[in-house]
Amino acid sequence: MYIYRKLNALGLIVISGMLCFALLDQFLAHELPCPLCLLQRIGFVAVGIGVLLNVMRGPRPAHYSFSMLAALVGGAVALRQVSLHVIPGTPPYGAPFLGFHFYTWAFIWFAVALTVLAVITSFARQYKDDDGFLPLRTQPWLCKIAVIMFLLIISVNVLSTFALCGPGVCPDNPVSYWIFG
Amino acid sequence: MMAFLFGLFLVVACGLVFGNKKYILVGAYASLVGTAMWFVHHASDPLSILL
Repeated sequence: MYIYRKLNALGLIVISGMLCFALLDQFLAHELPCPLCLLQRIGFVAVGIGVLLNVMRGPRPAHYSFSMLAALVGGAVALRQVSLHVIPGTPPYGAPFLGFHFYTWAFIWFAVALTVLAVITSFARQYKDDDGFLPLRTQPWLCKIAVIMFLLIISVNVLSTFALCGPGVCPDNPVSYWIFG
Repeated sequence: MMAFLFGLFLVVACGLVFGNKKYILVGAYASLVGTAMWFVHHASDPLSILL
């Protein structure tokens, strides 16, 4: 029952996991995110919004389209940051992880998301076997976990970004949180 | 501003989880367009790699 909603819930957990990893790196390794890094996080959140729509209201081509457009925007941001640091003599931003910097990983994951979404969109059966909007309390447990995780991770990002940048423009190379002066 | 963009998506996410409003997709697109416009506005300088 609700197999496509559960698959979308798994996707939402993957997106939440990536955002969680970025937050852990920020808080534990004290690597403060640059403005482009934050825009890439917003890109992942936007991809997740389309997936969340599929979980809550059932799969629709319009929901997948939104996620694909969000992946394009996020990928463009990541590609710009890769382009800024690819020139010899240009220092990278942040420490690498498994050989790549976070912005390179972000570009790879946006490309993967775009490919996966494009393939899944073509499965026409998912649009027939569906009941439309399901309130959170009636969702399968996997979907509940995915939705709550996603809402929590966006909330933490709102708070941490406000603590870092305040209401204004984020610094290019942040060294401390705005909220602590 | 970046926190505001995150906040927009949080409002959209809460709206689509806790309400069944049909215009929530419009809100999601508005947030995405806002994000793209913010990116374009602050990334208008030419890239060295292209020069």
